[in-house]
Amino acid sequence: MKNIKLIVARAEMQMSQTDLAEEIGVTRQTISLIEKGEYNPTLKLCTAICKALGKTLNDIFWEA
Amino acid sequence: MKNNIQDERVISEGLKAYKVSFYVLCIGIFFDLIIKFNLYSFNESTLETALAFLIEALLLVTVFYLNIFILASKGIAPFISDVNLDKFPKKRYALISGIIGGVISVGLWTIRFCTGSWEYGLAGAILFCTIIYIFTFVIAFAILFVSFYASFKIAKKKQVE
Repeated sequence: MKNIKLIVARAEMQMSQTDLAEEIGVTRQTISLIEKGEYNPTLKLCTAICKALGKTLNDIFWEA
Repeated sequence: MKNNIQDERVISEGLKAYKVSFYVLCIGIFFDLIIKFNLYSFNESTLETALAFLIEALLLVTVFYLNIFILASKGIAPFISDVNLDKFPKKRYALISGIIGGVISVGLWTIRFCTGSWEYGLAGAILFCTIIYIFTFVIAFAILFVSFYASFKIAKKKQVE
């Protein structure tokens, strides 16, 4: 299942997948797979993504 | 400020590739040893070939022990992570040793039969397989049981810590 919240948060920050990937220190493919819901990141990576986007874990990764 | 974290997905995928390569390499070395053992027992062997066989066998055993003890030092009992760590699964190792014995004994006979060097008929084949089976079963069980029991104990101790 796609992570729409992540895609929206990234768009709000006007960042491309490459920008976000470079900011965190991972490959663009990893960001792409997380957004497509095809890769389940560790808490460490989730936290890094949230920090880069100025969001909390709840904002991006919590599914009600 | 950049978070200098490593790409866990790349590492994870790399480790999967290493794991598969490791098993393929070990199986390859194992079959190479079986073939060399077959040649060794039939032809005149030189000191060099015997040494090469010995070094290769030692290398395989070292890799095997390194693998299980690195896992054990991290609190993982190799091949028994699905089993409750309170009890050591002795029967599983007897079964694995039995399978190894069966594969090696039948494998050795098959190689000799296929190369046309078998001249002792069905009874000879059964006797040959039985002797090799008992021999390899005892060795496999001793190596597996001792090493896995040791790793099981280390892993259990680490888990308690």
